[in-house]
Amino acid sequence: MGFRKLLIITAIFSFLFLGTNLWSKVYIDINSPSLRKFPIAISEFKNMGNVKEQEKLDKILRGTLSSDLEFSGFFALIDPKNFSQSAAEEGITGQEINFRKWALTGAELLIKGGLTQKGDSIAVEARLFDTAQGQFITGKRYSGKIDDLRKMAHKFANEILLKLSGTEGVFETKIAFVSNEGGNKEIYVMDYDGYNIRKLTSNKSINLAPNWSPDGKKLIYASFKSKYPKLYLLDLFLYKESNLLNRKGLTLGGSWCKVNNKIAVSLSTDGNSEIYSMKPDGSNLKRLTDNFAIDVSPSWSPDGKWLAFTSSRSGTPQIYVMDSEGKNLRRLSFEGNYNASPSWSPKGDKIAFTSQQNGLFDIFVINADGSELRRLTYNSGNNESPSWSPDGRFIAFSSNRNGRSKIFIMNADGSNQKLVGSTKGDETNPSWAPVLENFKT
Amino acid sequence: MKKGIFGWRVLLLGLILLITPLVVFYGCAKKQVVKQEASQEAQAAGAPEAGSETKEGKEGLPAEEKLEEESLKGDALVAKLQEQLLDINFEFDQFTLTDKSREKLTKNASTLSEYPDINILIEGHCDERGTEEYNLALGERRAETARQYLVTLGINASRISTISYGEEKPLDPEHNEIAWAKNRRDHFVIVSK
Repeated sequence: MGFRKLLIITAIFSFLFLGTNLWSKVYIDINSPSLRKFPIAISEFKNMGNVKEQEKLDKILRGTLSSDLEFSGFFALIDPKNFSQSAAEEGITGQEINFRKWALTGAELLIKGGLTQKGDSIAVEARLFDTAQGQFITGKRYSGKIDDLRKMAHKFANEILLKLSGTEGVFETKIAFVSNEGGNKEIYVMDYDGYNIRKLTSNKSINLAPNWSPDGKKLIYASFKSKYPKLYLLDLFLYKESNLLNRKGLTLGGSWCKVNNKIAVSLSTDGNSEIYSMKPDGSNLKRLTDNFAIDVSPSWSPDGKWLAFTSSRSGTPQIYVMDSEGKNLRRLSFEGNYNASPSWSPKGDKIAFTSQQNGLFDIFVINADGSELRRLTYNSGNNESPSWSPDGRFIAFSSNRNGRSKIFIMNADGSNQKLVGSTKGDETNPSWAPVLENFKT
Repeated sequence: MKKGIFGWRVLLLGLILLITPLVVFYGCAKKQVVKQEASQEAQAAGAPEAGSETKEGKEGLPAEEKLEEESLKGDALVAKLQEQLLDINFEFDQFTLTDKSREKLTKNASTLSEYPDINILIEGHCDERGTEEYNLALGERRAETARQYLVTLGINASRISTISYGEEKPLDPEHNEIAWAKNRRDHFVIVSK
């Protein structure tokens, strides 16, 4: 389902039930940073027929749901130890639930679910209730293979967030990154929570800096596979790789704008790295900077009118913004001697980047007009390469706070920093897929 | 390559053994040296491939030159020249040449002019700090700066290619100032013509 379609449907539903139904009330104001967390209980997923490993499957479902809902920042999970003893025997539909008992645990929201199995096919039904009102809020039934269980849990977590806030969650999104597990830097992709890791390149050279196409179906990355670093385009559906741009010198970057369908790259055909824009087929290559300094790492504003990039024209690397024609240049970062790798937020209002402070690198966010510089990471090793989630509520980054560099995710205000990378190597360059839908790999 | 280096070491030992009495001789009999240098110039013109450091030795002991010609071919010669090409280092986030770097580049240029049959690849490297993309661009500038300097010293530009590895291939994998200083470098690699 397209995102626009989803928005329309959400809008229609909100309108239909405005003031008449309980769940038309907005439980969660997504823009309020200091909101109260909703206490939620997730009851056991019951065996409703032929489930062989109910305990194991229940653990996966509840684990995934808990981790999604907790990370969203909107929910506080009720410890299952506080559930009443009769909770496990209780049915999963509204009439069978003793809401008073659930309310006594402190839960304001309750998830109830059941499983049925046929061979290696599994069906999950899940319902969300308001315990105070004893009201049904939403319910879904998913069926698929046992391997898809985490995906089903992510889908229901998304459904919950959509119903309570009007905005879908990012629980089905992907993050591409670089890992040197196995000795060489290769491109990988994983679910946003670190599960389901897939290795995408195996050319045993150096592969760097993945960037997504706006539809989330392709990845651009730089590779040394033909000795000199060039940009490649990998189709994740056809698993086909092609040269994106084959020019003399260093080719890096690859920020792909949905609105103007242009790809911004850095290119050094004349021995000096400059910013260019081009069509996805490599045509209309246009130089946007003309400067003796290093210009790299372009990032489009979501409306395609502006580009943020790193330039050393002042003597040290700093963040600059220019329009899509290379005009109206302005410097954005003024604090510190090393500011790099800008990432423009999906809402267009903010730019995240890496800044060196007292010898270490940290993630900062600044308004696109240069106001309100804000530091998001502190005293935790080096923190680099910020990349926004498609809803703009989270940022992925790499950090070596525990020794080796690993992928982390956090809220856009810097709270709730969480390790998600789990390859056996140094992980760098996270790039959060710009779409909410999952894709098959 | 390893075999070549080993060969060079044996040769170096040989050279030291041969040169040592000569140096003593040099110190004792300056007059004779002046005479030697005059004839050395004449010989150097006829033997352009001879290294300047061994010229004295050759003059005193012609047998040594013969040895060098015999043993330093192919890999051994490449290994010898590879050792003569000195890495140059840079300050953090800089690609400008220091005085020391210029000295080393001058030495590298003389090796290159002595051996017109070799081409080189200049690898630009950075320390691990900073972003991968910026460091790739910085490494490229470091390699390009050295290339331009060698060209001003008379080396044909067509003999020099460059590549940047950014922070991807550190010489020293440690995470401290000493390692970083070593890793910010241009490395000169002999490539087949």
